[in-house]
Amino acid sequence: MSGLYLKNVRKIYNEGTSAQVDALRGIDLEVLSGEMTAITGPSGSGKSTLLHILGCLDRVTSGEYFIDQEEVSELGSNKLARIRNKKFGFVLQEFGLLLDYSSQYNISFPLVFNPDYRFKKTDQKIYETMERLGIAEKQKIQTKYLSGGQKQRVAIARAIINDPDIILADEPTGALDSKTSDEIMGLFDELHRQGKTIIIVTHDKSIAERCERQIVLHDGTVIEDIRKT
Amino acid sequence: MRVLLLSLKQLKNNLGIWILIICQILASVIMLSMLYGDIAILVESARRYEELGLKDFLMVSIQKAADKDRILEEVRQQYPDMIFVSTKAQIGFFSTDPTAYLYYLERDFIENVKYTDIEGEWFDPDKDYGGYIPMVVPKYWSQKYKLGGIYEIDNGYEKKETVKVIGVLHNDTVFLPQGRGALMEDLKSGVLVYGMEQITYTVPEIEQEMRTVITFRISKDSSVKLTEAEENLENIAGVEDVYTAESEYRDFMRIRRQNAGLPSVLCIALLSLSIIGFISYNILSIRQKEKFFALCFLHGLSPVKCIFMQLANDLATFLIPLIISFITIGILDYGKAYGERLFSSGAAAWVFILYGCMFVITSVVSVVKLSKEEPIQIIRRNL
Repeated sequence: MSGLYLKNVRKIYNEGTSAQVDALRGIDLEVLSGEMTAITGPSGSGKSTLLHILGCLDRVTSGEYFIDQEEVSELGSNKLARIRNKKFGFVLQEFGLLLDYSSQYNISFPLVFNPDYRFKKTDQKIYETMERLGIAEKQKIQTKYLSGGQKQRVAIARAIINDPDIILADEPTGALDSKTSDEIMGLFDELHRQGKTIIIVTHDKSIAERCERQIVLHDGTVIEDIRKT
Repeated sequence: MRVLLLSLKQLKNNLGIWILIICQILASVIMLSMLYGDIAILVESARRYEELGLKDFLMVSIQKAADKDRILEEVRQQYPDMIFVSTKAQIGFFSTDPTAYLYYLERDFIENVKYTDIEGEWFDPDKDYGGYIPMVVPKYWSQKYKLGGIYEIDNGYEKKETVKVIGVLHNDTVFLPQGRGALMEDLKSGVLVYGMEQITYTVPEIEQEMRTVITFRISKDSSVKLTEAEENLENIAGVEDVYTAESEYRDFMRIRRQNAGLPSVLCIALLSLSIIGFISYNILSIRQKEKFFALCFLHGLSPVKCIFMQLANDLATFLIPLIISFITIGILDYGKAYGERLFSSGAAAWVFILYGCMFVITSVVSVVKLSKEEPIQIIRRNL
């Protein structure tokens, strides 16, 4: 079965020191392909750590992590980087954009690191993706001149430009007003309808409720896992 | 390549500083080339002065050439073991010429200074060399200008002259007979050139009224002291001035050293500025680029590739100013904007050694900085 599967995953920071933090304490979790999942919980509950592990940005201290049935927790940094590039798209709360550079430049990152992609088609691919998100005319504009909603659209364009299976979003509406948040969530709904797996870390209940599944974390453990019927 | 292009676009953030650094590097490379030329001349002049034994030469400048025989006779009486070399020859050091010495060769010289330590033959004033100018070359030239070989020389005129190598000396002088002057190889271009102006021939009656110089040489086993002879010979009637090749050489070296003083200071200042500027710029750019690195990691660049990307970026930012500098030097040389040729392989080698060290230092800083941290730490801090 395709999807993400964590088995008894623990993540400990500063292990063996007085500053040791047990961020994740034996997480067992399966995210099916095509699911739209919200991860919620209070600050310090381990949401971002979980997202980083799911996105192959960080390594587990113990336990196993499978992506589409492939064990990835022991893979080297080159292979993990390749998986990040091919399988995941990332959307961040503060957009994660280089503000002095154009939308086009910002969106190009995943394509540049994709060895299978033909460089000559980059501009065309970026234009098509931006057009899909309604920001085609902002291609050459420095992202510092864009509104919050436009910035997040640029970030989403970057996340989907490589056509990944999984979109990981860390508080994607955290810096937006409610109307713009609604528009951005509409885009995630659209991507979900197209078959993408969406995992959103959020504090916002209304955002979590729009997802078909909610996972609630507390002190590094899953205390609730609710699926809409 | 495309990863490097992505990284190089980051230059945009510090374009002004980078252009300033390019200008600093350009100025310091030009100054270094000028200084290297000056130092090369000083070193080469000193080497040749020693090798040729020029410290044994003494020149007597006389007011009228007509008094030559009388003065010559008086000198011979005072210093019987002083070797008469020439009535036209003199030894000089010229501020712009790397070879910096010359001999006029005439019958007197040829007959009085017969080199025996020679392969081939010494000049014979009465011999027909088949229309070629006979040339005796030093040993270090003999690989290039072989015994019996015929070569074209640049006499400054459209009609070129050809020389034939008749002898190879075991010292460092190049001789052409019959008042043609010294032939030199331009140290930088490797072209054979006359190292002095063409000789002006004058009618004998007028020549007798003109100033001239008699050149003497003290044999190695002579007890004559040059300084003492200098003072004594000045007292001979008709003698205008007496000077040694050594004093000429000292003056030449002093002037060259003085001339090199300002370029040395400027060169050191500019080099220091450009090195400090370049290293600071790279350290600053690594700090400024943290978010860029975070995004690279996030979207699929491994830490090792990130280090390589930064090294390639450093190399490009290091090579571009140097390429610009050498193109500029080429343009300046082509337009003859500076009196001497600026480009030399020696100077270029020094530039690459100096800036290469700078690049290594900068790269070490980049690699240490990037390898010290886990990508997730950079992502957490910046995204």
